[in-house]
Amino acid sequence: MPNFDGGHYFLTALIPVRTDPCQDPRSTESITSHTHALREVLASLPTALQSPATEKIGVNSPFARCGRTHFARFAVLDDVAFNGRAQQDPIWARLRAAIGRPYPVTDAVDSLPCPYLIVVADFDADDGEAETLEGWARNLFAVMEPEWRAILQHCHGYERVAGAAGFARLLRACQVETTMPFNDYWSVAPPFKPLDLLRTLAPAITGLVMLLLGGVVWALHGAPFWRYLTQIGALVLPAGLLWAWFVVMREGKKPFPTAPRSDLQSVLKALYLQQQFTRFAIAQQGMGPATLHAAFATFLATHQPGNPALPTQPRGVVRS
Amino acid sequence: MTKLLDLADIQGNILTAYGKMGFPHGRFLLVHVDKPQAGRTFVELLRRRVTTALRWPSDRKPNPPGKIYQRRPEVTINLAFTFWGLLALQVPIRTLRGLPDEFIDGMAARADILGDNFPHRIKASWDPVWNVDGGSDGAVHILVTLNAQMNADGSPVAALEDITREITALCDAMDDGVRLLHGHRSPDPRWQDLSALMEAQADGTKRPLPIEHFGFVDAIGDPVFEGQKPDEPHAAIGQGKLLGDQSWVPLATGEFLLGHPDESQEIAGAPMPLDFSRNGTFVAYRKLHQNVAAWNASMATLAKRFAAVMEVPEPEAEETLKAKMAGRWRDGTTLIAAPDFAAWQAVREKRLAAEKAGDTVTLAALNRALVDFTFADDQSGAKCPIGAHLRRANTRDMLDPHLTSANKAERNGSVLNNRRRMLRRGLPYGAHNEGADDAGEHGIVLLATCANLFRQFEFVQQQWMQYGLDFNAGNDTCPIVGNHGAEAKFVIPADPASGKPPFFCGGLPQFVETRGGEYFFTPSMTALRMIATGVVDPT
Repeated sequence: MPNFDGGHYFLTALIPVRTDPCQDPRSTESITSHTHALREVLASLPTALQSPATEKIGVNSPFARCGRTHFARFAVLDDVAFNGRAQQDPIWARLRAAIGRPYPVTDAVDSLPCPYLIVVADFDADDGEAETLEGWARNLFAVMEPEWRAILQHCHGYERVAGAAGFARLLRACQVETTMPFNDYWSVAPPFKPLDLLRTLAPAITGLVMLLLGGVVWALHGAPFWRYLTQIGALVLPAGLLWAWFVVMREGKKPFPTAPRSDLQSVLKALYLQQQFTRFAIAQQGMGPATLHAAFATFLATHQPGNPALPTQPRGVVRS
Repeated sequence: MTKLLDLADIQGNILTAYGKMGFPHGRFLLVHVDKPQAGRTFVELLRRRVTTALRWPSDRKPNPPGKIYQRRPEVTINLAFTFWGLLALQVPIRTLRGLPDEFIDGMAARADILGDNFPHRIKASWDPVWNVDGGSDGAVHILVTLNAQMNADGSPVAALEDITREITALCDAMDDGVRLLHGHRSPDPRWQDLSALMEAQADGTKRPLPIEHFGFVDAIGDPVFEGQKPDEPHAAIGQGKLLGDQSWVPLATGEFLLGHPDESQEIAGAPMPLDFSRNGTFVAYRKLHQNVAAWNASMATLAKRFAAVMEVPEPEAEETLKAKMAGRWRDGTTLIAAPDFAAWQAVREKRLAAEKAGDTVTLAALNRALVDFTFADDQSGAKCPIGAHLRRANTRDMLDPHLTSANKAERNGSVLNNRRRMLRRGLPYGAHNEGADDAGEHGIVLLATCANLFRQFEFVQQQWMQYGLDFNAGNDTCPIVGNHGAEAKFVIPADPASGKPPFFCGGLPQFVETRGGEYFFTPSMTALRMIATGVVDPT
């Protein structure tokens, strides 16, 4: 299931946006659409701190309050794009016209029934179970309830969001399968167990042997045993192929194992240590062994490489 | 059939770096057009004197009598325009809308993309003539570039003054229709004076040096494109593009001239009519101040540490540090050819001996080695650091994802570099007081010429000079021209076999700052005629 891979859950949810008029509670004058109001709320959400200049602002993305979320993104989908007319084969068009059933002059243009709020997020998870998603969602709602309420008030289903549990259920109800997750934390190939090809194909090969051997000998001798063997082979071969296909697909669906230290806490600590160690190297290069030894002891005591919790790079700060 | 360029239609400063061709002096003037007719008259009166790319016969081998040829001028004249200049000259909107966004924006509007608002906002640091955030009545419209030959005493030929006087008189005669813009931080605020650095000779005369203020020989690896040097079949080696089979061919003409097929094998969109764009190009004017004092002080400090860590004498450490940052030793010898100080000394001795003996073959081979190299054998950067200026400015084959592939047929050569090349023109300006302080006026005016400022100039500036991701160097910027924030550093990888650790250059101060600049369109002679006579017809 691609929603879960490499120890990360990849959530994609499409929440329908209301299409009735929306009144700004601050002014009776201002009547607008929910899509408009929603875009305004999203535009005013603080982003992560992506540069030294923004770090000084100190107003961080609300998602930084959650210790499991690596990335999160909102977007408003107004409608599906129209990709032009369906391809028509000119010969086939002629033939259809000849029998009085020509292609329609215009193609139907499909549209969404309403705009959708796209919510995508990538967070640390042990498995791809529904409860894992809901657990993360409940926690997220607990740390950013005001922001979620400001957003979801413009969406259908908001009335169901009585609390964290309702929010989690809404997200799950609106979830669509993530078909192409992007998991960048395996810097080397994960430990794969190659598929035993012979074992996978053994039933199919057996069927093939029965079919061929039975068929040839039956044609030469005509004894009923060989005929039965051929007939059984004709059944076993497709069944064996089906089995092989099933095994390959089952193996393919198994998620990657979690990459070592790819949870958010470890990633932040790694970024922190990388920067601190670079500074340490610059400051200490050329020093004698004794000085270096003492300095490194101080480094270990100050930055505690073994402790992923602290000191570390704050969440939501993009720096390396 | 080899590409044949209409040299008489192309402005000469595109194909040739005048500084290296016996024109060590320059004077750049900026003009504002108040009245369209006056502006067109100004262009009309100057355009017939514009120096084209036609070749001048050598003094030693005069042309046979009766044959028409272009005389070598004492002073070259070239013209270029900003977007607002073209608008002021009433080039039709339908033509103007075909011009690229970044050119319309202008360099000041792109300051954050280019990293120019560092260490000071350009409003404070740029010369007043660039009119940052100023009114439209002071906008830069036309760039007139003059390049002059010199007298034996190193001063520019008298013709430079004569032509300057003619241009100022022309402006004065235009009845407030055309104004020379003041506000260059130069000895005369009406123009930017430039000059190669000079070396006094024993006989009292002076010799121009090919170096810039930090002491490096400059402008060596200029790109070579199809049709540029038809008589020099080997010019592309090291300067064109590297193919997968490791052979060199010239780059596509369209990378440097509009209206010709480029490296994507198409003629890129350009303002219509085609006659207006064809044989024209864009140029990024950059006045770059060089903090010589900061450079000298920083190199001396770092050299002490480098000497201690690497166990070499300090002078050697300083030379090595400078070379590792630039990618070349002071005299231009590459780190690929001479990875350490001893090797460089050997090359220098070889060159000196060849010069003494008049050994032209050896000299030619040494000069070829300045440009003919790749990075395939130095992927760790043990010879030339990955983040060195040379590798950033011209990545050659370095970014080829199949560079290490055993199957040579898989290799891509310089394909990821071919669309990021620029012709570099320009000259140093001012004189530094031997690094006493950086308050004075000294640096270089760089004219980066390319067909697409966004794809070529801005990309290299933003992604390769001011960032390090493509080189796996994180946020590290170019050690020489990059912006150096509080934690700026430069890593010099060590050869693992040497047993030495890598060296980190930390606490780098700002070495280069912009003091002004703009994007200009350098039209063909045909387009100059159309602009001057007001007959640009986009239909």
